[in-house]
Amino acid sequence: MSAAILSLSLGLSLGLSLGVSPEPAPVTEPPPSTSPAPAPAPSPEVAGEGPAGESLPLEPLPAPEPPAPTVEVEVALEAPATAPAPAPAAQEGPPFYSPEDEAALRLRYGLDPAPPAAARKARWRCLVADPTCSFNVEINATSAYAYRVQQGSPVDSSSLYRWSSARSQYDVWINLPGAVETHGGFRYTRLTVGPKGGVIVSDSKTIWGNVGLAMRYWFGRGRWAPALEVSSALTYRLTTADYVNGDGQLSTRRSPVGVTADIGVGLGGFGALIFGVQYDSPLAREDITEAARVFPSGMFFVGLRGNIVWGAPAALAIGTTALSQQVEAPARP
Amino acid sequence: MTAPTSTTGFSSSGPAPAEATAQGEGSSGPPPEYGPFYEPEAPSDTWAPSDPPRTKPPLLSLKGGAFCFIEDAACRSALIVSADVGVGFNGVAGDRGVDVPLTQWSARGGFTLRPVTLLKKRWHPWSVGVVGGFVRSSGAIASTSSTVGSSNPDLLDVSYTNGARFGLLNQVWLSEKRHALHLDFTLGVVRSTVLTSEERYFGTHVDVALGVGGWGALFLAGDFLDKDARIAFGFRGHGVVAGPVAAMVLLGLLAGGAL
Repeated sequence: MSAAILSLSLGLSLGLSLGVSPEPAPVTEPPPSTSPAPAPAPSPEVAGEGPAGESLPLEPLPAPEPPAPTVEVEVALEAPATAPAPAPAAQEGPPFYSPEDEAALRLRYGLDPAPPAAARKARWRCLVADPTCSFNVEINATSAYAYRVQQGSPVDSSSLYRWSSARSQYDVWINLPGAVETHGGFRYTRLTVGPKGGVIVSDSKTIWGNVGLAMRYWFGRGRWAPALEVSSALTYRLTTADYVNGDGQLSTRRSPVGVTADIGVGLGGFGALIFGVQYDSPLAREDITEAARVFPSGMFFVGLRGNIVWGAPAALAIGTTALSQQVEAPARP
Repeated sequence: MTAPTSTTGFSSSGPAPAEATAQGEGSSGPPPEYGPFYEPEAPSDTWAPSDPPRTKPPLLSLKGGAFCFIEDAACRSALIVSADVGVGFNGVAGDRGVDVPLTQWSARGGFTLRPVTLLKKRWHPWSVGVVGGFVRSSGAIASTSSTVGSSNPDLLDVSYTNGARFGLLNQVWLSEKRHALHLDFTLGVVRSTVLTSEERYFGTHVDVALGVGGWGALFLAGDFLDKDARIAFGFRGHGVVAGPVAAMVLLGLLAGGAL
């Protein structure tokens, strides 16, 4: 193949140099050998002599050939003489970057030049929130002192009742990674946010349901990393003590939508000190019965919220629920 | 070309990225599509150190996801056990009462399976099942007779309303990832008392939910009966997490003498 290309290039070059059409084959008779021939080697006709040494009628030679075809001929002739360049090694597959490339990229983007090969693992398979978990579900129990207030009662709508009580809360948090950071090939959760729901219990057999959002921001990557916890939820009363149709037994109760929110500082998902507020919207329309009315109320609370997996928060919350039933509220809930 | 399978169940309708690359080297066609939906995570992604391996079967599952006690994207059939609390609206049509807020709690159970996944031997987002449950709602404020023209209608404050629900559940899983989001649509019947009547009637039950794996969901549920509509929004938790919550509450109330 290379011999044919060489011959064709040589023929074209000589044809152009002689000022004749490249069609005549006798002018550019290709050499039978595949070895490269010297470029100036003329054909017998060009030499002007026949096989017997007789002079032949020759036309005057034209001007010297332009340099471009000559260069082409030289290149075409020299190329086979040079050693073939080694073929590039075939890539087996990713990664296509060498360690030097990765080091340059790490330097360029300010990454750790020596990424860790191993990382800490969370205990209990992420049942307790941890920065090394991208997703986790936890059951949190809260025990808190509550300062409750309520405006109005069936007999006196202008009064404001205030009393000390207790609050226990049992919530399910579904923590989804909202912001992450990478350290080497590992991904650590910096902020989680997700839905949560559960129930809140206080005195007078009052149980609220709640549904909302919970957020946790990690200040570190350790097992005991501090974290900021913020949650808010819609609240609604599910049960309360019935003092209208009974003597205070637990009964189902309706209520409008209220709201609760809290903020706290925790350690490693095990527990947090929290402060929060709750507000219960009133239901005081004139077209409903007196027994169905709900007066505006609320509470401020401060306490401990923790994961029930390690036990103490669960025990505290159960105890708080039991103790809260001993509180005598000054107003009918 | 048959889709490859994985240890966590069935893979997506297309080959996995690494396999697609290997197959694409010898073929002249374009590589298979790769996108965010219905696909597992890219192999080049970073990984949370405490997360389970990608190939690990779903939590509390049998035979690599053939049956799961907690729903997950890689399950071919799953158990449903959940409890929820919600708040909403009790609308009384006509002249038999007034519209009031509504609160409720309910528990439900059921079973789902993946027909296309089981038949085609590849992952598919559709899941279908049946669910049934019990719901206790706050009662209506209604009258036994018309309240039109009455300056002081005789309204009754119904203590509570119980209902039994049964429905067909359709799920669309939005991802193959572990703990994937999914949309749930339930359509069925509810049998419940209506307003002040003690008789039980049939009505329509509709439930729309956005779930996170099998762990929990935000839902909007409605029971529509004759002149009595109940719509509630709330949070639903799997029995694995709702059970301990209910147990702690009951234990605390019992210890405090509230029950």
